[in-house]
Amino acid sequence: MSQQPVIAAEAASDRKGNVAPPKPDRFQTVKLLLREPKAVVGFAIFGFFLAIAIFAPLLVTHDPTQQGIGMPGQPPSKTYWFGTNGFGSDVYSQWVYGTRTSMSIALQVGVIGTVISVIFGIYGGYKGGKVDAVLNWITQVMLVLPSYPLIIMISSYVPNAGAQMIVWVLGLTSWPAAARMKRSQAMTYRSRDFVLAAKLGGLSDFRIMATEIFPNMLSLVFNTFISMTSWGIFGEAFLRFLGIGSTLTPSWGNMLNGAQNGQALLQGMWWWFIPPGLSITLVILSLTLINYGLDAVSNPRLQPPPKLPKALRSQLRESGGQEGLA
Amino acid sequence: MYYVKKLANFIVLVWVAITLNFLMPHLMPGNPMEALVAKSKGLISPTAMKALELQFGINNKPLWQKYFDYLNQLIHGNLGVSIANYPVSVKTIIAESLPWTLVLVGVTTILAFMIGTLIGMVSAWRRNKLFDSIMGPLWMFLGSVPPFWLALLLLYYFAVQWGWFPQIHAYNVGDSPSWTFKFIGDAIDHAVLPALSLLITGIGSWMLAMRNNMIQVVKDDYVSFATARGLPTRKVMMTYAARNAILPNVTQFAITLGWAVGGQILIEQIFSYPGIGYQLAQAVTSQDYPLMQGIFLIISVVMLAANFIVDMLYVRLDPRARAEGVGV
Repeated sequence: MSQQPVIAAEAASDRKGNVAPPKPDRFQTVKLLLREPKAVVGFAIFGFFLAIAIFAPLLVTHDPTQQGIGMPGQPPSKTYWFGTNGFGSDVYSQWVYGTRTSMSIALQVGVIGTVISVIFGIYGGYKGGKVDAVLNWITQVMLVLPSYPLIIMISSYVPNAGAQMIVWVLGLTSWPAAARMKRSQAMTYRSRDFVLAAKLGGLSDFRIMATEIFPNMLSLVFNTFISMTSWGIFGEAFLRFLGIGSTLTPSWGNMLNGAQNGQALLQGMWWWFIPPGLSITLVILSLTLINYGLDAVSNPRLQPPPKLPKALRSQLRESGGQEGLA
Repeated sequence: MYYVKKLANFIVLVWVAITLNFLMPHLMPGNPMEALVAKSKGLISPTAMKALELQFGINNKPLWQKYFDYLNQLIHGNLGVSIANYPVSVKTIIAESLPWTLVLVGVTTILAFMIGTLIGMVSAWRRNKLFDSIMGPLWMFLGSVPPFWLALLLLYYFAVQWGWFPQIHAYNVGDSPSWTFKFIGDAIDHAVLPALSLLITGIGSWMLAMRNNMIQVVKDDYVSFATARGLPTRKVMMTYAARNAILPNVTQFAITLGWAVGGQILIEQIFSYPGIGYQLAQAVTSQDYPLMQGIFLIISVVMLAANFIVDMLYVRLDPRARAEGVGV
């Protein structure tokens, strides 16, 4: 009880004094991230594919959807940079437009998954009680349902599913693990001083969640967005490879599907299935790198240990007279 | 108390899976089931037609009554009849294909878990040393490769080009499964490439997760204390640090098992490996909804059971879970 004025006073000083500190703090994470080599490589690779997706119309050399442009199954040449596929389409142009489709699907999946996980995680974790119990139960159920069969089931019930359908199926199945992580973090904030202060200051629940808790969880939210985008890239290829959804739009999954059905392997047309598969690998790798870079700078427990204890430890080890692995 | 709670949770989740399985086709726009049944009219016998209609509730009964009809069928172990393989029952197809998948996926997932955890452990212990700087990027890259794409590459080089391994199926076509050495050797020969595609792409995530956990645990006081007591490094690493670092991975393992059972669908399709994923892929292509529904149900139940078993084992590893009921 006697703490209340103190907290209120802290809140007041928070308002005045803390206007400057949080900002550099947030930029600091970004700055540190840009100094982390893993993250930089990740951003570079992802940026490369993003640029191709954005400037796709300027980059193509042929109509990606037209068949019979050249002789089917030609290896890469000056006219057809990545060769032609079994239907005589230009693989390079297909790949360029495929990049656009796949990247846009993945980013949309990222947004949907992140939004749902933020709502479920932060709202449930902050509110607690019955609301949390219900939201958490839904999360648990979604978490243990087998995702791949689930997305196959849902999408196969909808004939000729377009890109938008794939986005929603992937987005709506992507979030549970991320929501659970956010929930446990939001729960730790629930009783922290700055949240109590905001509560006593009369802020609505929504304001507290949006302005007090959410900013503190930014790195986790970003981490989720990255993971969900990665799931989107893979999920698109997965569904399309199975032949679910329209096979007419060029996308990485559709290229692989075409290569499989066109027996690219048996005919040795490696240029047909290497570009899309390698692109998927590289984008997922870039996202993993960004996530690990982010983790390395934002998780204090992952920082390299300080020097002195380490020296002490090795000293202790030597004095113990033991020779081991390290 | 913990066990009772977990068991209750398991039963409820199975019920949810069953209900979802029932509701999904009914909630889809344009009722694909009705379209399918209308399409098959005249192509299959009236009795099969009757069974189909019963199974999917193509009648004017209210939804709740259809639901109870469905539950009744399930209790009697009736999963319906496959349309594409008519008149073989869904149950027969699942019974024939599930063992192949369970063995293939079970073995590779456990191997990936063990190898990944081991590499991650040593990597964290020798953080930023040569071993760590090679293993980290290598497995991160391999973990990003889509398993089905790797499967295509392996199939192309090792089976088609060089002929080291058989291209398709789980055993020589024409043989029938038996417990002879010849047949088992043959089956292993057929399983190598599918298993490799799952293994190579699966190790990375375990390795990275274990490395991260381990790096954090290594800083804990009890590890420093164990080192200070002069215990052998190997012992500190294995029984003090790793034992605690592995806990989050064990929970994840259950979830991954389920993912794996579903995630190998494309691998099985590529190698025509007669497992449950292959059947599911076939069912999707031929719009065999009864088979799809049955497989989804079985995969869900297998996955829930795996989770349940791991939950039970988890208490033995982490006594805190018994008291607090955490580690759900």
